[in-house]
Amino acid sequence: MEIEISRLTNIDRIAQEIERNAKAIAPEYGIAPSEAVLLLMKIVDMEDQNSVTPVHGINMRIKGMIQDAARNSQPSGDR
Amino acid sequence: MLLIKRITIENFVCFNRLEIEPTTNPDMPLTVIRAENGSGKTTLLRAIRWGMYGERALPGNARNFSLHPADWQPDAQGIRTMVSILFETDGSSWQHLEGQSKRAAFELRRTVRTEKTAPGRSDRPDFRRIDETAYLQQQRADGSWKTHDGGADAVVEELLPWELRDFFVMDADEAADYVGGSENKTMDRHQVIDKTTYAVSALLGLDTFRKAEDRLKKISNEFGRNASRATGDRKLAERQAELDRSREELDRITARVQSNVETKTDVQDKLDRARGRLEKAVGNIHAHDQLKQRMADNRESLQKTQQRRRRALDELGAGIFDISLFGALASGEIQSVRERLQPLYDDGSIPVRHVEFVKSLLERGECVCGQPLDARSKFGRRVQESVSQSSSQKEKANWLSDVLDAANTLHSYRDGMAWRHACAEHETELGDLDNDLRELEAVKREIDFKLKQVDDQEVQVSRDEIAMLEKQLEGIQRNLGADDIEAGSLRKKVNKLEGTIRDQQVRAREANEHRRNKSIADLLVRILQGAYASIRGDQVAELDLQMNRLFRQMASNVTDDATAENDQGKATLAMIAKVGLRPLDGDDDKYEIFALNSRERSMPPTEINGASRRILALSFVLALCKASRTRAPLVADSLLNFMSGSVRTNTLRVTAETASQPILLLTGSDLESERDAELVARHAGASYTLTGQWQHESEGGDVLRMTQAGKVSLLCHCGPRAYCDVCERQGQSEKTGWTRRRDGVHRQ
Repeated sequence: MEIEISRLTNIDRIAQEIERNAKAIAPEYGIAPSEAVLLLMKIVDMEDQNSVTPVHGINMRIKGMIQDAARNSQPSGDR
Repeated sequence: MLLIKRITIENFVCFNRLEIEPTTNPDMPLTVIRAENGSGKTTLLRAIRWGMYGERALPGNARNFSLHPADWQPDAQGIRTMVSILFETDGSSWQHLEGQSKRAAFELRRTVRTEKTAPGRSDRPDFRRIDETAYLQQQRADGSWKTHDGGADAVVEELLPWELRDFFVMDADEAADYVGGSENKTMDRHQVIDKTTYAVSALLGLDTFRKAEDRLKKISNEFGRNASRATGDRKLAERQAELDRSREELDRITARVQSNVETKTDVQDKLDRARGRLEKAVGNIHAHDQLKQRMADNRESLQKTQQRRRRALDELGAGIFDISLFGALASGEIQSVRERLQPLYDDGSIPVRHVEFVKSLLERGECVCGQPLDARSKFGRRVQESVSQSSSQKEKANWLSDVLDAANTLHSYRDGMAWRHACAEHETELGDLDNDLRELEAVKREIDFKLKQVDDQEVQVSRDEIAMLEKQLEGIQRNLGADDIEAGSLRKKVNKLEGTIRDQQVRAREANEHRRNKSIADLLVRILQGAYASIRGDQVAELDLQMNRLFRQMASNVTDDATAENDQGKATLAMIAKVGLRPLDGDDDKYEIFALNSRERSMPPTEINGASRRILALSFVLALCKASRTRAPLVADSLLNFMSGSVRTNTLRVTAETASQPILLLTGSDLESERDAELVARHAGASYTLTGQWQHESEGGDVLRMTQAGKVSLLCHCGPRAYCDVCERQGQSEKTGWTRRRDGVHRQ
């Protein structure tokens, strides 16, 4: 597997903050916090990669990730 | 994480070949490269930067900058310059988070060929560089190498962005850009702020947060627009109701058709059964009709034959009676009458039937011969007279005629042969008639027999039933036809409505999906915003505290820095009460480094002396790396220049203890202090000495026993208090605390 490299070194703190916020907010949206964290970290990582070398079809890929997450989650009624 | 494992330089200015292996020992992370001024420290720094960034890393007009060795004699083949940086990283943030972190070695190799050019203008170089290439190799698990798909420049940009070039490969003067520039260079505030902000945003990941947030917002909006577009048709409910109604109607008709089809099937079955029964009764309906017709014909034929027989019998009986009687009684007289009357009849003397005929001719006025028979013509008058005469004798003539007929009849039977012949004919006819009658009777019996076998009542019932069923079937067929037309029409309508509604339902589903997607995107934006706010607020605050703490460590117990350099009148470390990082007023996304005096007044960088600015910049770099968990090399040149003893020691210690991989290029004077030497000995996992060959004593320099003719810099493994054949300078052997190395000397 290709080792992707990144300058994004603050990842532990970023993940920590994302996880903290996800735990607080995600259930309201009917999505598991862990899934939201995974999704966001993937997006952040992709955005990080894209900042140097354009990631082909980044919008479509992120949309696809969101759509998958939406399909795999259940809405929790009206918000 | 990025750690340099080896730097190899070939044919770069004053280096023929140089290989440095910085330490990667976390317990002894410091790499010291001791070099006097003019030995190649700055060149080494430029070589590393060129290896990373290419031409743009060269100072001034890059095209005019000589990369090739100074002693190179231009020739047709040219000379190849190469810088290779072998480094190790642990993968991307995502892989790291996923627990997939794998340390992998990479080699960044940049080469260029310099060739001679024809002499031109004096301000143009007599060389040119061509074929610059940079590529990145990744080491496989088995130790072999493969080209990395990311491309060298992109990877370097990812790991150590150009904007952070002096963050990791630090020239002390350039590092001071973070605090307004060095003594020789003053920068505008916005440039300083931009530079500082970039570093903070990049290393804390705030720029990535911002980009991700912006992208997610756009994606969220797009989902929202898609949802709006998908739900644009408000007639969906109406069409749904119409479809429901049409479906109900179609269901009703379909049920009716189904019922009719079933009824038709039943009727058809009944009809088939009735026909079967009839067939069974009469063979077939046409045979029965024919039989009846035959019966009727037979009856008529029988009656006619019987009548003919009776007439024949009568005639035969009458003939026998008359002829026998007259023949026997008056055969002589009959003959006599006949002989007398026949000539008269033949010549017309007995005008029996002619008179009436001639009368008709007279009335018409024309004879059969064409002559006129009117009263004026002679012929007419004569015929009229004859008719008048004959009319008067009519009765008599008719009687005589009848007598003649009787006489002739009697005469024809007078010999008996004719009579017998006539009798025979009558008997034959009677026989034939009797045969016919027998045949007809036989046929009649046959038909009667057949008809007796047919139950007329049953046949009639079947006939009535069939007629009724056929009528019923006809009605059903008619209804089915009508229903079929109506159902076809309804089906078309339903299909159309279903298609429309299906499309709209798809759009509605899409709208729901888009709304759901938007919801998820909004959630991600909210999470990012929350995390961004935390990092921007809390972590920058931590960075601020960390920076001040490091600065205070470097500035502790300082009493002599005011005399270390010549910028008299500027603030010294002792005057700085607090340093840190703060967001700009009115723009929380931008940051600047600040310094406050004891009265908490902000101290502009231009009011702070050079050493203090470098320490300020270094505290920012170290604090930011620490706060952001950045593990990267810090290649610093002239970091300790113009620093007083205690400041130098503090700075050296803090740098050695805080940076992940400090690679410091120091002068001998930076290490004169025993404390500094001990500090280096304690933290340095690798030590080198870089010596300029032109410093050889034969060249008027310091380096002893160097025999190579080329004026190149040499590298050896001598530490801060060691010397060897390569780097020995005059008087070193006489200094206390210095050691001559006789083993493991590395010569370049």
